[in-house]
Amino acid sequence: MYDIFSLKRFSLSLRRLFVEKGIKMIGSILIILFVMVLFMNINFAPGFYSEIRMFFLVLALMFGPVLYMSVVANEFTNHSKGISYLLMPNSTFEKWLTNNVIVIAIFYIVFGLLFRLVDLWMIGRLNANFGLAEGKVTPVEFASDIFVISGLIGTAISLGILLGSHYFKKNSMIISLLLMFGLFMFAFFLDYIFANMLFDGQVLFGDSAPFGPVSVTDPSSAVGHYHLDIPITARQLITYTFVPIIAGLSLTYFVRLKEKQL
Amino acid sequence: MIAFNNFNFAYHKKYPLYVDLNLELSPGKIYGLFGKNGAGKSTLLKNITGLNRPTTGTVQVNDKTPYKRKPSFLNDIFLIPEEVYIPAISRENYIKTYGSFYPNFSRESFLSHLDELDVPETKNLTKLSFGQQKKFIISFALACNTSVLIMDEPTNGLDIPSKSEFRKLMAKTMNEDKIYIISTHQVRDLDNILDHILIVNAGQIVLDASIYEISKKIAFNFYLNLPEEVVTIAVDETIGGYSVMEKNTMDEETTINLEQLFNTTIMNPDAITTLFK
Repeated sequence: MYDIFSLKRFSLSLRRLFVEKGIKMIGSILIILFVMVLFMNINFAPGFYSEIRMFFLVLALMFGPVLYMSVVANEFTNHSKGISYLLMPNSTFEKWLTNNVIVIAIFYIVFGLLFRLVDLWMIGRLNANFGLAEGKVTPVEFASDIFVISGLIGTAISLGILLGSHYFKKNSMIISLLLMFGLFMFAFFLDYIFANMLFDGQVLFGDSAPFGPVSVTDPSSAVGHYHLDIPITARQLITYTFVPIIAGLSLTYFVRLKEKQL
Repeated sequence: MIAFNNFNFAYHKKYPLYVDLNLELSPGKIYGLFGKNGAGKSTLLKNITGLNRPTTGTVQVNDKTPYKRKPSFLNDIFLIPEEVYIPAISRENYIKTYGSFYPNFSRESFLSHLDELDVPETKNLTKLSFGQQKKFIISFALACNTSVLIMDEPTNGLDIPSKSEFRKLMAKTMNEDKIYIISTHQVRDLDNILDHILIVNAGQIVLDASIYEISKKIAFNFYLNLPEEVVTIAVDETIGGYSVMEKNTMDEETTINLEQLFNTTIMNPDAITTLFK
């Protein structure tokens, strides 16, 4: 057990993380929030706030981790760094827990708390400036669909970047993002091919998101046009799709770390 | 003890680097590992530290399997690579963070080594020069008191006084429980501190002998004119005379010319291997 987990070693691992990367980690979250606040203030009006808040929240949760990961996922950017990291007297499990779980959890916790403060501040200003009734604009709930869906997609992207840092030394983040985008497009294209095989070429490319709704034009049927959808919510759909992806990426990261050779 | 048993290693299946290597390294010795570029020195070191995994066969370090990289193994071994990595933190933070990982780490020894190697105090370690960073890591590695310490080109980037201090530190910190392995091309930097020589060529250990054995079997002499009666192994023409490696038939005590020994072992391995059979 000692060789798998020790509280002392794990706390040293966390200490190393905060001492070496803490400022950059928090700094990257602040940059993401600053950009959000900047754009949310461009059109500062009650009717506009909720929409622009949602838009930037989705962007921040899904693509914010890209900036964040660029300062965290750099253990193998050069040979000596890789040696130092792999020979640090930590177990693979502790390294995985620190770099994979804690790092991502910190992003969502810190970002979530700071966003809540920004949200409350913005709502307060709206109420004061436009005399809105209490409860007209409310803060975004952490358990809301927007938070959960964007967070799951963002976590998968983060893990993809983290895993990519094991395979690509130079420009690993860009290559990982391109690879993920390529895989997404491949899934999209595959879905398009299968859907058209099933529906005799009646499905539009735009309707080809995996598990997404499909609009079928069928002149031979009585209605002529119908809409196929799976009977679950978008949140359930993303959860069922992305939880296994996240688990798979996380497990692959662990195995890759354990088997890593230099 | 470090033991390679029927060790085979290949980066690509078609081109094996090490084939059926058997080698033992004992505690209480400073080993010098020499070889040309690409000979397989770093591969050997990486297999000892667990950064590489044998294709077949085993490597054991103090009865542990390196490639499993368990903490109980990692906290008793230290590798100083040719180019060291130092994070952008203060000395104090480095001690508190990294020193605590090593059970035998001595803060006093570390500060004393830093002082002896003349490494200045700084708030950010990345502000140190390349040589200073290397001296910082050497001081830290020695203060960790691990039973195995591996150094890849440790004197690269060190100034002349530091090289001398480095040799003193090596000798001072060595004890009968430790193994030091120094891989270098700068053979002269290691004069008088090595106990054992390992020369690697194309994945083969072509010389594995202690300094005592070498000096018993080979005499290294300098002659103004080449004498006819000596049994020479190698002759190098130098300024003002000849450096001669000869069979030590007279039981002479001479200083080993590592550079000449290395060159001869690589150029004429048969002459050396027959001597040490």
